[in-house]
Amino acid sequence: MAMLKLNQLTAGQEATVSYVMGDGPVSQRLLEMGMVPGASVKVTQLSPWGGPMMVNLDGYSLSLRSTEADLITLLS
Amino acid sequence: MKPAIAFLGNPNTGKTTLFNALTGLRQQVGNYPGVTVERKHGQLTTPHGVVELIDLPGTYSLAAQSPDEEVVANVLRGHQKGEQPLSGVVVIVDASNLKRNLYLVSQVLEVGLPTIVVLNMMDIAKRRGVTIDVTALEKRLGVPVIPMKANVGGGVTQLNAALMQVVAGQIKIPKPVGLRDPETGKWQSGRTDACGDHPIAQEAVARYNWIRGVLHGIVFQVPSTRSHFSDRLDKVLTHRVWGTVIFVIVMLFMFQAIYSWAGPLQDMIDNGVSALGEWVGSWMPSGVLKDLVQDGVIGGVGSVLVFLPQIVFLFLFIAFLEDCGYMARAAFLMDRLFARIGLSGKSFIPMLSSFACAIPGVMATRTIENRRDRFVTILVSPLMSCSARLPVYTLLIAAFVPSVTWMGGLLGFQGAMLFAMHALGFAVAIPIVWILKRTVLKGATPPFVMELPSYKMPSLKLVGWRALDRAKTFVQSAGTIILAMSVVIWALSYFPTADHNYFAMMGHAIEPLVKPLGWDWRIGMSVLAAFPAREVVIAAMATSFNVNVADGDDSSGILQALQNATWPDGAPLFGLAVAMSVMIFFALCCQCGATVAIIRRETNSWKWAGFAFAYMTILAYLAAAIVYQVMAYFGVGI
Ligand SMILES: Nc1nc2c(ncn2[C@@H]2O[C@H](COP(=O)(O)OP(=O)(O)OP(=O)(O)O)[C@@H](O)[C@H]2O)c(=O)[nH]1
Ligand SMILES: [Mg+2]
Repeated sequence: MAMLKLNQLTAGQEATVSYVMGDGPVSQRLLEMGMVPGASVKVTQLSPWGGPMMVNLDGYSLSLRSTEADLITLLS
Repeated sequence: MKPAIAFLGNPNTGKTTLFNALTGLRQQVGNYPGVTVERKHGQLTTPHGVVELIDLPGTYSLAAQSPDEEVVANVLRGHQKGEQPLSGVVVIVDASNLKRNLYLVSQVLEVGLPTIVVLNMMDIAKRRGVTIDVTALEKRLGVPVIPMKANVGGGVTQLNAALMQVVAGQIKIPKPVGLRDPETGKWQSGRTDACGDHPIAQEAVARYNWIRGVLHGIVFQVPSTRSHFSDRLDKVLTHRVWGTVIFVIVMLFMFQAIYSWAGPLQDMIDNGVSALGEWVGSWMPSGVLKDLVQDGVIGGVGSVLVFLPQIVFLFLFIAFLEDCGYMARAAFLMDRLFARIGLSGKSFIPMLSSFACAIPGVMATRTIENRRDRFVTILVSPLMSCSARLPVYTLLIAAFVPSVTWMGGLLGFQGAMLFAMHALGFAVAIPIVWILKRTVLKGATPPFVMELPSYKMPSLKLVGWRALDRAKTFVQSAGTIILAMSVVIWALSYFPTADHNYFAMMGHAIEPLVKPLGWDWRIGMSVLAAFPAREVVIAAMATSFNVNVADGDDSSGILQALQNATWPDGAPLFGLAVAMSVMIFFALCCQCGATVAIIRRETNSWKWAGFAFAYMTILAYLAAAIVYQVMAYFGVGI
């Protein structure tokens, strides 16, 4: 089964974080900022053509690029 | 030794606001992450003696990734050079976003220092329908918890009392959270399955589990279906098309407003300066001293001071942007472009700050994780048109660009030109970044993960302070470097004789060098004199074009002098083409000793400072020459 990633959601969709892949600095920062298993994320804004996206993570607004969102696996 | 207590917390939680409230200082505050980038010291006088307070940059974690975060970890652990071990820490948390903020708290509790937790932004939490059982939280964390509204000073008395307890040694070192097995060093994340077995994931999961336990049953949120004002505003302001369009229109209005609104104030200062000149002229005996005071000091410094309203105006606007929450949105909007050239939207924040002044702009790059990306941003930040370029732009535009306005004065030709001059530096920075990222500072495109704070109504007091502080620095620089340069220029053009002076001799020597730019020796010398500080150019022009304050000339005197200036053969010196070439030179050139010094400090190398100076100066010369030559070739604005 293909895993659902954060960068596959469309604007307005909500999901629960399953885990963050990788152990580099970006993964670490995402984890520290609350992208942990069980956290709820909602995509509030998408910008096409490689622009960053805006998500609501447990009540606050976070922006990240699709490449970073690709590290975040969701519970489907 | 005074006991030292540090303020730390996530970015944008109000640390500096609270620090200012306690110490009476006025360190910069703004509604975006990364306002404070270096530690600041202040003093609090208590009945038990003076306490040293240290305001730190914001950080999400003690595992630092950028230079500003490193300082926090070092100060906390007592490793920072020149900093004594701390007697205690105050962790400022955002009550409206408790969960994420407690991550850092869980780390700080392990450091082994007496700790106070400040629950700031209680007003926002309340507005969002969040209630917190503070007593229960205090019990669970095992440290004092103080609710606060730092922006209005609510809670400061309680914090004062708690700080005194720290000094008196009455606050115990907190019990460590104990998330790690003391023998194996393994994190007690309670799971090893889904989150993989990276220690960093284990740690985060363990800490967030702890947070869930701490908050369980003591934080209540009234569910709201209404979308927040911030979210609705974001739909428009960060829209990929409308967002940029709105930004450009707002900027156009702003620059036109500098003409429409700051103009009258400028005339008032102008009249004051001329009156002073005349008054001094009326009683001082004729001679060298009178000429020095009248032409060197009042004429030089006065001609620059006249631009104070414009500069204050620009600062009011930038302070407004900084405090309303727009800065992070601008970074969001710009990220797509910046990713293409090899940076992230984060680099746009220092660049935006540089529109006020490159010095804080260069410092603000400390939030950038990667050293090479940080250096690239430092090297292009001085290309942004700072407020010191404003006098030369406004003067030349007023003199040579027709003042046509539309929509009842809201939009105008002069404002559009001023906007174009500010856009130029940014437009040139893009290819420079691209080149730097592929040559001397090669590296992969950095990631972009950034928190976007909620919008809020900017505080009038804060915005006013910022403008006032800037006005003070401007007047100070007028009284020091501009004064000194004015006197030097005056002396050079006064000796050995007024008709046959050193200034003109030097000017004639360099004239061939500036000829290709369409300049005569007087423009050349004025621009040269402005290398230590840009504003000096106005004073230098006043001297070299013989504007005489004693005769009641004012800045419109300079304006007319420039309009009437001719070449020796009688052909007019200035036209739009020469005005453009001077303005473009100023837009791109690194004429600021203080900027070179700060680049040296921040990169810790003369090499980079020299590089910035050299590339900008060459670029400025070439661009000015090309624009002038092209315009001259087509006979435009000659
Ligand atoms: N509504 C509200 N706003 C606050 C409060 N405290 C601070 N602010 C505002 O929050 C914003 C951030 O304040 P700062 O003091 O710059 O925050 P900081 O923690 O020093 O931020 P960094 O230096 O970037 O880490 C400013 O716009 C303040 O006016 C508060 O209790 N309530
Ligand atoms: Mg601060």
